[in-house]
Amino acid sequence: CRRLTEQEYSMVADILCEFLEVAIHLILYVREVYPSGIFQKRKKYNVPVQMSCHPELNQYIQDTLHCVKPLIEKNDAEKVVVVIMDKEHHPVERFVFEISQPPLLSIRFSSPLLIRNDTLLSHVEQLLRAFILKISVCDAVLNNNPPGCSFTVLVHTRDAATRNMEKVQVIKDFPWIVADEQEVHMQEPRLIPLKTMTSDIVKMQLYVEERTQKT
Amino acid sequence: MYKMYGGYMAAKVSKLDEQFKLDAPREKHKEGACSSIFSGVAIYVNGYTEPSADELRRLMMLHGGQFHVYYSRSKTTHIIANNLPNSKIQELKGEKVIRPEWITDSIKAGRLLPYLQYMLYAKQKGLLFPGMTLRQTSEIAGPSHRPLQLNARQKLHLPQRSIQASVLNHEQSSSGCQNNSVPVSSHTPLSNGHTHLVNGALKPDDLSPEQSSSLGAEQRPKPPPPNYHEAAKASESHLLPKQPQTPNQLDKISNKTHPSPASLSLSYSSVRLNGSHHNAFSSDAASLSTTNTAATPDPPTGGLISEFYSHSRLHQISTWRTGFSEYVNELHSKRKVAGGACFAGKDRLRKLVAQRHVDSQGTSAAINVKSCILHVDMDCFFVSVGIRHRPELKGKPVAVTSNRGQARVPVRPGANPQVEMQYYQRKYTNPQPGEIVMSDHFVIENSDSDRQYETASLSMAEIASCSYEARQAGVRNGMFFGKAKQLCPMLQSVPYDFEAYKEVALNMYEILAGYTHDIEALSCDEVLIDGSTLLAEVGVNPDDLAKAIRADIREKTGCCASVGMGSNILLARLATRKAKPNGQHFLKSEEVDDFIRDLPVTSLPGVGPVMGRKLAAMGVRSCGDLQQVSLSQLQKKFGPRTGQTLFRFCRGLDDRPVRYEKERKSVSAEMNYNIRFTKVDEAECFLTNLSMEVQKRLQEAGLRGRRVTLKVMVRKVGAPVEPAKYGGHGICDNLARTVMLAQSTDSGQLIATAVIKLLHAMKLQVQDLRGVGIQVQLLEGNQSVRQDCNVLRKRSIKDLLLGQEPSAKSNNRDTHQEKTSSTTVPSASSLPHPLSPAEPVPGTSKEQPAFRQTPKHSRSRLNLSIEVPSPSQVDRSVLEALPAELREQVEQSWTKRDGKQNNCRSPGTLLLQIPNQPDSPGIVLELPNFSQPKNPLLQLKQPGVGLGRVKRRYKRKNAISPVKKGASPLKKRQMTNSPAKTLAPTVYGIWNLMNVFSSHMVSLFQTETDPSTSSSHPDIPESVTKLIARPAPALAGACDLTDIKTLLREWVTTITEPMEEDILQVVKYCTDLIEDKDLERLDLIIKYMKRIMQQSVESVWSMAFDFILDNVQVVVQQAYGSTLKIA
Repeated sequence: CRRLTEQEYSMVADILCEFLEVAIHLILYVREVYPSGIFQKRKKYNVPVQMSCHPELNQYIQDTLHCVKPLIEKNDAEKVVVVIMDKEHHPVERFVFEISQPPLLSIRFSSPLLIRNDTLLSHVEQLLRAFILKISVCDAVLNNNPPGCSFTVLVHTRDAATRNMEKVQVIKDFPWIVADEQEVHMQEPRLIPLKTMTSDIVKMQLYVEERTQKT
Repeated sequence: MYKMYGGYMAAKVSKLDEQFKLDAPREKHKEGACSSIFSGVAIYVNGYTEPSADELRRLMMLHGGQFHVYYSRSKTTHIIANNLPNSKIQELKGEKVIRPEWITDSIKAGRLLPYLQYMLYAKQKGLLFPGMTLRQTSEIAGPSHRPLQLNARQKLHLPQRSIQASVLNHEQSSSGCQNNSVPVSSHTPLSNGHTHLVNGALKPDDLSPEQSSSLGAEQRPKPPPPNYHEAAKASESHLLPKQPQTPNQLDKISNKTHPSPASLSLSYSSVRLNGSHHNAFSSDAASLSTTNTAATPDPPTGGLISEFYSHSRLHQISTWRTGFSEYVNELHSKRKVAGGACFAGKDRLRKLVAQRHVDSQGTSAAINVKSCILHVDMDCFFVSVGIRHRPELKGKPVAVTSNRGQARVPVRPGANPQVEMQYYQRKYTNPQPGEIVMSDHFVIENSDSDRQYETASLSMAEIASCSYEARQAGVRNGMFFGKAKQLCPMLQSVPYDFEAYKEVALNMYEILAGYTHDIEALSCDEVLIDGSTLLAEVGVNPDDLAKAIRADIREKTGCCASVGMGSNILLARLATRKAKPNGQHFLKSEEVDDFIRDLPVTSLPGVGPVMGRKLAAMGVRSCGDLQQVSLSQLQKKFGPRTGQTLFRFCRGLDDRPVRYEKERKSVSAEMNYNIRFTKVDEAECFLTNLSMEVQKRLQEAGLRGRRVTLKVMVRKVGAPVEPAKYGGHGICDNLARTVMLAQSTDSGQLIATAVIKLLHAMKLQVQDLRGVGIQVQLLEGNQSVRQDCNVLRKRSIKDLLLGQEPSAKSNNRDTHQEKTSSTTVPSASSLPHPLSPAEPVPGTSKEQPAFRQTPKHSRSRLNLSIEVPSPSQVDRSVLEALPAELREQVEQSWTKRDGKQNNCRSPGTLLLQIPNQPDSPGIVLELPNFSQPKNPLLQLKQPGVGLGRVKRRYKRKNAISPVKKGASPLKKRQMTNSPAKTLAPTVYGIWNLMNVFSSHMVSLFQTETDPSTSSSHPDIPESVTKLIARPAPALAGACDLTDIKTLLREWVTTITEPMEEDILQVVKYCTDLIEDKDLERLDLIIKYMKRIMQQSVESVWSMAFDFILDNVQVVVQQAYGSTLKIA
């Protein structure tokens, strides 16, 4: 047994951020936060996904994830949350990606480079694909959102990570701030688990919290 | 420009300060009277105050304080306000916001009073323990540590902040929901979220000029992500039908908040990027908390508990109730055995009725009461017993108290009684003026400060009970004696007489048992009787019965009792209030409505001061008011159960049966007297002892519990170090932490390990602990088993009561053992013992032979459950200091143990030690011993085909897990002695073992007694603990989803009635899944169970599912703050 090396963590973060980008786009599409017209069909993880072609939105998502990445690298991000809010900026839905360390780093990966091996990656890809598929059908288990929703991304950090975040800005003029209570608090949330994965390099689960009364 | 402006502001502030300094002497001169009580205090007045800001400014001038016109976080020490809007309260959390009376009162008193009781919002807890008031993963960006953070980061400057307020007006107005992708200031990223909510004056101060210039320059918001509207346009594709309405709304919003077109997009597309934080500032907390230097009135804590409980006779009285309950239980079982009992009272009653029949015919027609509950309550029990043989005291105001008669005692150094008095007084009277005063003994005239000084030195011995004459003079139970003496100078004090109480209570129960056995013991002087059958059988009306009972009691005990009667328990109890003193009252069903309407809500059982205050806040004072509140409203406010109860109670409805057999919901032991620890060790030791007390009580009641709660009282920050009452707890914050054990236990060791961990997790200063309590819930019991025993063991109630004595002694012994054991710390080198299937036992178990103790042991030998350390480990001097009797016991146990030793080391005892979680130092596991008597629970379980049998199949099927290997010796055995019956217990053991393994709940099966072992564990390199795998949760050894489904199906289809044990295992598995963050699987399993269980013909399955679901939802709620959506 051993810890993941820094290099490996950065790889894990790469994989996760790539996945989160795809997932955020898909969530925005499936939950109709933006009109379907701005989305294009693409292929990722060997399944069809939707991706926005609005440059500013894409840039924003990219920037956000760029800022999330250092946190994941340090294993500081506990949850990455895509919050969909109604016109009054009260959250109606939260897509929570809960990230934790893999339960066991098996001895198989004795050298850092082995983590790059293809079987592992294809395995992880398989698991991520399942997430994507779950997201694309999640509208079946969720109630419709009220019109005029917007979204935001929150990160729940572990321990004292916020302190460092204050100091280091990954992208200039794109700082983290503490979320308002209003954005975090949801009235009578109901929890809908979507998917859980456990792989050798990361453990992640996705669930949706939904406001009981959406309108 | 901003810079200049900033310079101007700075100049203004300093000028104002100067002005203040100049004015001060002049003012002092004018006034004549001046002092320097406020030196070092700098106030900032926020909003309207009484007296006005000007007046306060003048007062500060006169008395050496400072007055800030602008708020400065670094310089202002206190904020003065009479009330604040909610947003400001949020903002100022952690700041000292104090009512202006603090200043006026301080001046009156001529010295600086502690500000604690003048805090504007009682909920301002201060910063003492941020780590524990916050859930680590709490989503709320812990307000209580915000100030810390503010100190840590760069300070902002007042001047340009207020400019910003005007420049960024649009932002201020909307910043609550605003977009922070607008980088207001690149230098203070985290702050802008909240700081600009504050009003202009309330700005933090002293930012360097460079920063202020950068502020202006970098004002350009980053292009935010496009909103829906924009995006739709940009895409140049079809507009959705709902589109047209969007721009309108958009305009509306933007008109409200942002007049500028530039901000239009901002307001709508509040895409944002941010993080909530939750840090455990433990080190800061430590430095913040005041150090406790005052002399501690404390004896060594080791023997404290047993001393407390053996000396506290009051405590014993409270335990009598269990005794009486059991007495009633026994009556029932005896009757079952004997097939009938003689009811002396009943016979007499019969005669009476017969006589009556002769006298006048046909009165029996009046008796058509369907159900009748009698509530018998002795009138001021302690007093009437106390003056039973002292007729000269009858009719005089008398109080029972430990005080020897003098009303005054000297004040101890460090104590500040006034502060506490005022605190309580404020707490109880201020929040809702005009509310019923719950704790009369804190009512002191505030205006008259002289008298307060007097009260300070009065005796604080509490009055346990006082006579009606004393009550007329305003004396109340629980009042301090000194105070009472002031109210009623004639007041006589009577000492406690526990023997007499016991005797009278016994008498009363015997009398009542002469009438019926349908008795519920409420306390030593309070009983509920279900008179329905008795009345029907004998044919008397309730009033006659009550009269007979009262006469009987009066005659035999010399004390008066009052009886309340009603159709249910609630009404009977309420009727008793009317009956008192020395009377009886039957509350007829037609009178109920009128009667109850005018009662204050606080007279309802279960409505204490806290709930009373909550209700008063809703405008509900009487039961009539409460009747106006809808059920849903009540349930929303107080939770489903309590809400329902309130709804019914205020209508006089109550369907609780009179339970002669009380099912206990929790077992606990608490102490909040004389708790003064100086070291962590002491606290740990104390917890261990207290756990032993809990163990004792659990075993007495024959119960085992799973949920362990640690309650602590912590000195409130700013409260006097030494409370007014000697050894008392003073002003405290009450905190509680709960942990779920992997399985039910009655072992003090397990409880101790769990609570010690909880204590550490709370990160408290042990010096500030003022009270500690341990509560065990989710009880399950060998109750039925025990009842059987009761039939055989013919114990009189006297034995029950006397039985307290030996157990107290055994408790004493625990303490001694504790003391000795702490001298021998096992070597840490042995700790990370590898899991070796080949040699299961010897290595580890030898190391701490004396400290091992299995739950099994404790069950088989009730009160003697604690193992004594081996001779070599005991300090001879300690042993010699023991009373001869105890010493003998200890020595005996040594000799016994020698004989037993092999037994303990038999292959059945297996010690496994694996480091588990980072926070759990290690696990020592012990398998049940074969040679030991079978667990009664298991015997009970055998007849039914439980999950156990199914489990076994699974166990054979998959044999991969490490647990398997560890248990293999057992398994072999199991295969060889195959008859099914002997199998069951062993399987059970493995089953438990596996569950223990699979659980990574906080529970720890550490079986050492020695609390210091936990401190020796950290030697394990952290990396190891972190990397060790947490095995996947398993149900009966099955991990795979299909296996679990099969298992569940088999369980549901083959068994008609699920056993609680099995249900709990399923719940446990579900909880494990939550811990393991595998909600997906949890969801699948819940859905599957819902399908198969609700389909089942047996409604019990449906109920079982509801039970499981309820439990799971609670845990989900705890972990995620929301509940599962079940379609």
